Amino acid sequence: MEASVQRLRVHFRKGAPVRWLGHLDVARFWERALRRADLPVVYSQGFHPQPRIQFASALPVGFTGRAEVMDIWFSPPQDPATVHARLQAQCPPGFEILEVREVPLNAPSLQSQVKAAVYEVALEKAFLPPDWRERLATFLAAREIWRERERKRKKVRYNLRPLILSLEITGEDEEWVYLHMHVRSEPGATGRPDEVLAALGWDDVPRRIERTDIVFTGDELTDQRAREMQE
Amino acid sequence: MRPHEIERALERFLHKVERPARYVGGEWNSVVKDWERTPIRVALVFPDIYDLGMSNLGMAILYDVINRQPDMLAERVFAPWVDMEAEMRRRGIPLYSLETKHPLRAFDLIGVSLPYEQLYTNVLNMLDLAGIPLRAADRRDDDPLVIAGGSAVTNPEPMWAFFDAFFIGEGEEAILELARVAHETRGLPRYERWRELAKIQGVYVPHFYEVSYHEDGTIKEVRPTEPEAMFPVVKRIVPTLPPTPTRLIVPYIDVVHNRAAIEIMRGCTRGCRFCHAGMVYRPVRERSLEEIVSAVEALLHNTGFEEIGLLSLSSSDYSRVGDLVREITRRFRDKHLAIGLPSLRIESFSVDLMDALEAGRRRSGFTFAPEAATDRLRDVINKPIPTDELLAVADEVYRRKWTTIKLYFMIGHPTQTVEDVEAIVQLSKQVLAIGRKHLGRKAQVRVGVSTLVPKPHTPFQWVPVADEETIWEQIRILQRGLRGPGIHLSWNNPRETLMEAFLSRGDRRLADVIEAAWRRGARFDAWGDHFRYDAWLAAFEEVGLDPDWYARRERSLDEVLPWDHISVGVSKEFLKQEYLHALQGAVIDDCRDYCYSCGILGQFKELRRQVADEAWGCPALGRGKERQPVAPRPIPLYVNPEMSPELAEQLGPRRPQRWRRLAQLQAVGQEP
Repeated sequence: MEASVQRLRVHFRKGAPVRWLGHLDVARFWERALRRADLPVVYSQGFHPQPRIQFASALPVGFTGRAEVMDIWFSPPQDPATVHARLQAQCPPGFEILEVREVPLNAPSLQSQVKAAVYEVALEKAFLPPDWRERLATFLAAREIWRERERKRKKVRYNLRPLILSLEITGEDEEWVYLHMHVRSEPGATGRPDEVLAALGWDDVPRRIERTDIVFTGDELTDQRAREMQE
Repeated sequence: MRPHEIERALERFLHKVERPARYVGGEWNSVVKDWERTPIRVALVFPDIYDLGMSNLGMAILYDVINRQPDMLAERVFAPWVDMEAEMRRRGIPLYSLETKHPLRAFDLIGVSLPYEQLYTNVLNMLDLAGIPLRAADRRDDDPLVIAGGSAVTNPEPMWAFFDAFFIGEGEEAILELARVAHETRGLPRYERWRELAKIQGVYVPHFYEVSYHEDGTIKEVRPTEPEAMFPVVKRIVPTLPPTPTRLIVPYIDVVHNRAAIEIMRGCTRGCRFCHAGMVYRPVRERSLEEIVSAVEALLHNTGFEEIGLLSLSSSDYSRVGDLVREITRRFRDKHLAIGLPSLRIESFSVDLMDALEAGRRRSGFTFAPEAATDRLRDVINKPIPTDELLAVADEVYRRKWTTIKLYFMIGHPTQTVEDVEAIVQLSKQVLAIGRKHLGRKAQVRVGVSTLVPKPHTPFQWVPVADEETIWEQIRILQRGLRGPGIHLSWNNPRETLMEAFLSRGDRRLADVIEAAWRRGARFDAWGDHFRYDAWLAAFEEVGLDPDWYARRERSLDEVLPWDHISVGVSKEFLKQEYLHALQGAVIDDCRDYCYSCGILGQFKELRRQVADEAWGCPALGRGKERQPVAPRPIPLYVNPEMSPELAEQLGPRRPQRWRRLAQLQAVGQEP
């Protein structure tokens, strides 16, 4: 039985047209796309069978991502190229399959391997305060930046600063200021770029945020390398 | 603002609003046509948020019908939630369509869906957000035509001022005629455009009618003022149900009914006297089993939904419901598909059906709507399910391991006594006791109680609503009786009931009240925490009208009702007769077994001749056809002995609907 199961790792892009979807919306989208494609996804047992899909890391509402990853279990095994084509055919503009490859059934879960994430953030300049550079510098100089977040309906205070591995200004033009953020992304220690912007007091600043990479345990991908890859 | 400007503006702030995916479109199966090359443009408006509107099958049907036309496009517009509205107003963003982000004003026709009255203030809010004058008379010639349809418009009068026209009935065919007229007359004087609209069957142009009043405020006369204005305006129907859309839009966000839906049958033959849908959606028309099965197949293939809803007003009455369930479960068993078959009757057969549908899934709840808790009162409302039978069905449900039974009741039926309210407590407790017997403490009863809102075009259209305090007293009886483990009670806010009551049976003068209430901040009236009763009361006062006069006055049978010039095919004579039957406790049969001449057949006999004999629930026309008996002067099935002892004796014992004993009925042969 187990032998006839296969685990495929799917890399995909969540583009601008679907950036306003939340993580659960994205998951539901893939479930339905798989059903439309009539691919034999493995379902869990029990009263509420769920398709076996695991995501590396939830991407917040409003973000695009060009290095999103999920694992899907199939039975019987499928040709990865066929899965790629049939699933892509069920995608509206905004979702794009980048790669499908087989991984060992006993590989550790994607989520448990996530260490960090890399984001590119563009901020609309007209909405930034004139002293935005100084603010950013002061912000980064701080050792502690306390924020609150809701976890299971309880407010939890946490220090955002150590979650930011690096934050650099990478460019600037007439309209936009470009930032590069490398943040930790582990269970219980996840830095979010929108939280960083909120902590800077830039909640109202129009932005485009893209996750450009997810860094896994064992990845040799250093922050430096990640940046090179984008360029 | 132009579409690209709207898109750019949205991008600036959507991260700050709740569930931004509501406002951007782009879903699978949404249809984005080339605006420039598609001349006839329709905006389909649902005056509540996306999450509700996307669950509305009627809108999905019209979207499909219009978009199939090469020269037409239909785009969706929903009400922005309050946070979004505030941002849009602050930034001067007009209400726009999801598909191409065109402002509402750019369309030829704005078709507003009005399934219930609590959406009225949202309509005003949306027109305002779109920059379209609220009142049809104030609109410029180049403004779009704004037309409403849906089941609330069977009494269009309270909203008369805000629409260029109303469409009464089923719009699958007429929507195309409306769209063409709207496009072809664009730029002509509004009055001329109304004339063209009024020629379409089913269209009501309210400005072409004049209403005069008696001194006591009741209506003296409604008179058409233009030759084009039909009198009465008869609803449109389709003789056979057109193919159901199988490319339904798949929402990204979790909307209220997140599933594929197909209407398996339209109309209902049971004749519950409180039920608006049961009266206005006549005649009964079914889809064939083969058509349903192949539509389900296509829907699943095209949408990927993991749940399908087989919809109708009374699923148990679909003539091949057993075969349907067997066939659907056989075909889709291995597809991890949940199948919903709502609106089942209280009979053990329903338990068998659910058993087959939910095989292997978690059994959570079973929903029944007895609507009243005593045999007597159920006879009054013509939903005659004996208490014994209800308890036997409950036994069957718990015995087969469903843990929860939901029971829906209404309070405020005509002739209701305190005992009838107390009976809700007793009956619910009896049901729980049965559950306990089978499941111990796991057994649950959830009781939902709403207050009767007498609706236009129903036998109860003359009935008054109780005052707020009386309704509260009845709710308190339920609260006191229905507490403790295993029982959960929910009820409607009596003030919301009263609002629904004055809006649904109001006349033209309420238009000023609705506008005043909206100006005082009323909107999202269907959303408990946004409902502003104070704004409504102040609006009534401002206009100089009395809400109780509309909601709580018993109307005399010879009064001209505000909606009398709108015909849904069911005659006022039939409704009167049914009202009198209610007061006598007389129960009538399912009309598939015995036709009581409600008026539908007379109104639509030409259409009846066009379709197969078995296609409608109404009797076939022509000599020698096999059909149910038809009586011009109908005799009830039986009469409740507590209500009318003498008649009861004449007519004989209680019998279930569909008893089909013509001989017996004829033998009695006397007037009730």
